[in-house]
Amino acid sequence: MIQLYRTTFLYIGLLCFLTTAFAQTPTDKPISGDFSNTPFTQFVHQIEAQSPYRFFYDPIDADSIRLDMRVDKQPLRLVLQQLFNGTKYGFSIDNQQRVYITTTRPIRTELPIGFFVRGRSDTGADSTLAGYLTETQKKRVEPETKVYEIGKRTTPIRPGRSTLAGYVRNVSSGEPIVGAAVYLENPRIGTISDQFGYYSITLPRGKHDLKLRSIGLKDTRRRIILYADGKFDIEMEDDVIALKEVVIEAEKDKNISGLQMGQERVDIKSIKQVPTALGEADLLRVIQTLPGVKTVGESSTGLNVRGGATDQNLILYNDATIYNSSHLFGFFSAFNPDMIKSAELYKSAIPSRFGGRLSSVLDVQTRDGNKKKFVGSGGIGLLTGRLTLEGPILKDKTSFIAGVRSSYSDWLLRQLQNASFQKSQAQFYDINLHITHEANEKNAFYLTGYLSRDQFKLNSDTSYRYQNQTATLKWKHVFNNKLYSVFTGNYSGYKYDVASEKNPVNAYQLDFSIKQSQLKADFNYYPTNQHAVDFGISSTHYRISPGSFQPKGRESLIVPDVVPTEQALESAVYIGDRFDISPRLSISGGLRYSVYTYLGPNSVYQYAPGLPKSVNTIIDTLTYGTNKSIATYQGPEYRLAIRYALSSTASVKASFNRTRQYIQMLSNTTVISPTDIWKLSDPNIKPQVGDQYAVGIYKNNRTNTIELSAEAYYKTMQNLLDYRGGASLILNHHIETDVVRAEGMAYGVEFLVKKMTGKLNGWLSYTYARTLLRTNGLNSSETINQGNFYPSSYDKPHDFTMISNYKINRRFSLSLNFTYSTGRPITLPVGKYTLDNAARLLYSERNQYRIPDYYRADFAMNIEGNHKVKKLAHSSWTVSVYNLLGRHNAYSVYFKSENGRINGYQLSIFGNPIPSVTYNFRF
Amino acid sequence: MKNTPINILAWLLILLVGGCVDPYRPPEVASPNSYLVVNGFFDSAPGAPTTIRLSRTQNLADTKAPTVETKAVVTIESQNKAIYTLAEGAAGTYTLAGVTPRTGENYRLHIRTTKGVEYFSAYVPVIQTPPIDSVSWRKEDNGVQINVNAHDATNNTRYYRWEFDETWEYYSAFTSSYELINNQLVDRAVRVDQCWSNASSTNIMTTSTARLSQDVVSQFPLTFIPGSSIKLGVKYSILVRQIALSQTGFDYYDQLAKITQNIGSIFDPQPSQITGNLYCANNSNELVLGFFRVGSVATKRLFISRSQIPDFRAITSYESCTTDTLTLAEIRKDQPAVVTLYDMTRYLTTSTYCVDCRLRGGVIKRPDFWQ
Repeated sequence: MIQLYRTTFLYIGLLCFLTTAFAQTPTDKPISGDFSNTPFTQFVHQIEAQSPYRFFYDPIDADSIRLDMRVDKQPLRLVLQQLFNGTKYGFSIDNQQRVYITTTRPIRTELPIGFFVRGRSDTGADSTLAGYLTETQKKRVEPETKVYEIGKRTTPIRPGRSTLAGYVRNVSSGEPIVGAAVYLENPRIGTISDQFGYYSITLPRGKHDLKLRSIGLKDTRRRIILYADGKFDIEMEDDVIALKEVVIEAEKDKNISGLQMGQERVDIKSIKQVPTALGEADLLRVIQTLPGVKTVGESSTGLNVRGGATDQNLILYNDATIYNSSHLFGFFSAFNPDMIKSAELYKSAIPSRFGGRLSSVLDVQTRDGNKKKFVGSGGIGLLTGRLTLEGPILKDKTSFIAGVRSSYSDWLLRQLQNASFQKSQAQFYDINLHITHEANEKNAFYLTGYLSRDQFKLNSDTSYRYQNQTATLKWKHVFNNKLYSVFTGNYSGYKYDVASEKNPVNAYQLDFSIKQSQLKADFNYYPTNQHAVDFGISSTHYRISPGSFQPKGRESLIVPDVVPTEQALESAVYIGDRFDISPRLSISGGLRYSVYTYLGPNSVYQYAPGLPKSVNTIIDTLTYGTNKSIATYQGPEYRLAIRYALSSTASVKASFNRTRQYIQMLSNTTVISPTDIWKLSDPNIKPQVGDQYAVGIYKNNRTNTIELSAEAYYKTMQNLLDYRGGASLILNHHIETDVVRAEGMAYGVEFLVKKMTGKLNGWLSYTYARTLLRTNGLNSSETINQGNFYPSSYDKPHDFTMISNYKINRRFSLSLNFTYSTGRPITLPVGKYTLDNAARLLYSERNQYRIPDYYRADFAMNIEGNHKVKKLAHSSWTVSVYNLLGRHNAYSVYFKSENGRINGYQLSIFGNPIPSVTYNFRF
Repeated sequence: MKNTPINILAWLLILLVGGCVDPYRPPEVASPNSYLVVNGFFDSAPGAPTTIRLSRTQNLADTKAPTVETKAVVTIESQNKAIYTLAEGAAGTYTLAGVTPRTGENYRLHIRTTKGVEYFSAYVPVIQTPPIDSVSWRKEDNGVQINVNAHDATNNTRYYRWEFDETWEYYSAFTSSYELINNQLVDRAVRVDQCWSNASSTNIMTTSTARLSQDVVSQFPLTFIPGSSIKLGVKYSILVRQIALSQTGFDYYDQLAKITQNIGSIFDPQPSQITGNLYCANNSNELVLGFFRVGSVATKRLFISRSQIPDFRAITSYESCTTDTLTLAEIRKDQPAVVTLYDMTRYLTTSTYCVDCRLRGGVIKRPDFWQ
């Protein structure tokens, strides 16, 4: 580097030296003039007229400079010093009285001292050179030491408050920073940047020291003098040291100071650290390690949050609902890890802006593309490869990020010279595109597109395909510092088909699809720094084709059977307010009112009142025309949360929320399977309603490095669906005759110890939770277990998880994770009998026994390439071993009648330790 | 097979990711009760006797034969109040002869046990089974696939169930001409080198044509016989019984099959207690297992000879049979099976297993239907 500078200096310097040698002796001729609101260009003309000085500058840079001073025989150097002090402009004057005006730093007009002493790099005496070489450091320090004036200057400062708002961005990529804490220490006032990196804070006018803190970024501060409302964008720098730290909460003391409870935020860094079966970072796998989140089985990405069923989670990908969040039987989640910025899971105290599902909201946000330069990243694992590209379209205004991920498992299977594997097929891909456009300070637009497809065929003639498709367009408009709005339009579609062509007489194709379109407007209003109000309106239209069964090929005798399309409209208005009553006590209240209408055209069966619903009790069929309202359900949803700070490191919180759900998944299997059907609430199937009460206590140690928390909850759920023994759900024209209504009850306590910093970090969580269901049918055909409470399929009382990372040095880290949980409930055979020559099983009442307990240890090693700044590509290796102990964890237990004898088997998804290697790169 | 690195990688993946199935022994679970199990149906074929067998469920660990329900009063009642009483023959087996159900009439089963507990079935119609069109077979790479075809021109049957009995002829490794009786070598009186063995289907096989425009069952797969099976060694025969079901009957058998046969995949249905069309009149919570139906059975038989499948090589378990040459004195000492005279003084001998095909499970009596 020095060599390069030296050569450049040699040429420039030589040139200067030669000219200087023949120049006149420099004089510091004083100048005079009366400048009142004079543009800089005019000032230059005047000076050039009265003196030998010649100015060199970029008029565009200087057009904002105005002079307001009277100069009387003062040297130019002094005048310019006065003029430019505290601004971005610098100047220098060489021996020939040439004046160079530059931004950021002055031009050197002399060679460094000792420049010609070859081989000596110690130029300590020359402070200017040192300044040159350490320019980047200076640049960072500057915004912290500089004083920013906000609003029109007034003297004296008027008393009262003003609102400051703007974006918090990453200095290197221009990406907005979500969840950055923007606060004052005295008085203690703070806020958090939202999903767009936008913040708004109301402060007393005057001088302040504004502090900023966020995960993975250097803490920074800004000195401001607040005169009036104003816009203030803040850039933060990546914290190189924190590269491999696992940080879960955005804010170090958020669990104490924040009002939200039952919320977990996971960012991509911690996602990448948790070992997975096939080496690819997996968001849902990490979510499953959090307290209160359970999953039925190993290969399932379905979540059971605090006793909720897998269909009771609203999984949002940039505001669009994802109906099937898994790939390849659940071995992979539908989210490309390179596209995700963060994910937030709300288990209780769900904010009023969310609605439509009973148990939880998982809000997944994609990253915004790099606004400054083109970069890419990718990875190659054992089964998948992925590539992400991002960069500016219009510099600092528009950027894009696009990612592709695909499996090559299919290609691998085809390499095997084994007929049964060659007939098999399993592949998936997903494509993401996200474009951000900041039209101006007040308006920004966001466009997201997502497509994922899966296809599999397992040594059989039946092929399965499914597809998720979403598109979101968001317009963010800032009205003023206190009010901004986001208008969102989104579409999400899910469809699958099952086809078989082996026997031409029975060849068929079965199709299912769901199309959801949503429009919504959300407003955030910050009237004072004690209140944060949000309100909005949304409307969602659903269209479901529950099943279309069609012949395939000319020989097929299949009679087409189409279950009529159903549609519905769900609309909601909401308002919520976070009110900080005192620094110790805050309260957040919200009300959401949702109205749901099941729309025609459709025919609805009416059943004899007081009798179980069956084909024999249908008394009438009512037919409704297009868009006629068939049934309407509506109701308020209350959301309430209270926080009381016991001290600066401890707080207690309590919350209550009610949620309503108008669409449910029908599944006869315990895990999410690709052929599950979604069903809208209709006159015969009532919407689900859930209430949750939760309390929690949170304690941090002094330095906020260790967090302790305990939360307890109690939940009731109405109108859940369970199935009659032997229910058939596919192509069922009267599904209500095969389901039974159930009510659910769930309760539990969750403990969490988390250490976020230091060489050793990670968390320990323990949950005790129960989930019980009870049918309330009319007679024995509609009740399960005689109408008594029975455990749900995902009732696993004890659950312990340890996630630990140890950072050996900046390039090398180790993770060791451990999970234990009680086996899930199953229905076991309790007796046997012989019927039609074969031994048959007599099963117990539902879910009365459990499969063996589950435990698993995983290990991973992350090796980063060197951290040289200038490199073609940065790379890292992840080596992991999933199921380190090779335990055969039972996924299910089943009994088979084989040759007339009954044999019990347990199926394990993974029977061996599974090593994998993933190579990741970015450029 | 090529052993490219890709290939090795692919195999490695299959090995690693492939799940595993281990035997599982449940905890000591016992049913709180022993429930009545009803087997049998009211046969609508003219002159055919009807047999109903009553037994009790057992605990899983129980290795004894199931307890039978004796001295019960078993009657079949028509909706027009006609009552036919079945007589108990062998313990737990109740039979009725000389009564043919009338088409269009509905019948139910009524059982009263010695304890006075009464059980009824729902009234069921008489369902006649259409004939089997054909039992076909197809030679595949490594075995023989046997399928059944049927149709009902009136489009009424819609729900089918099949059972089958397999019979196969096989020979022992050697034909023995002598046998040792009281240490005297005499000519063998009964041939023991040709046997017939049989097996019955144990799986529930059902199908429905309800989704087809015509009531046609095409190539429904019944069973697959590996080419190496002894069943295909000489001659094989299968007798297929076709039973037409009502929709409720079909649902019952379909569910029963789902929870006991087609399981072990990732997306299994939840098992549950399945009850048929029988109920206990005294206690609605008491289970009764089985399904009562009234109807007929259609049958069809298929033969496959060795000459039709020449390139399969059956593994008979006689592959390890060897012979020895012994004198009469040595035979008297070792008591082997004698195949034939070897030379003037010695005999060709082998083990008894290799000459007597009955030791491999078959019978030497030629079945009546054998061709």
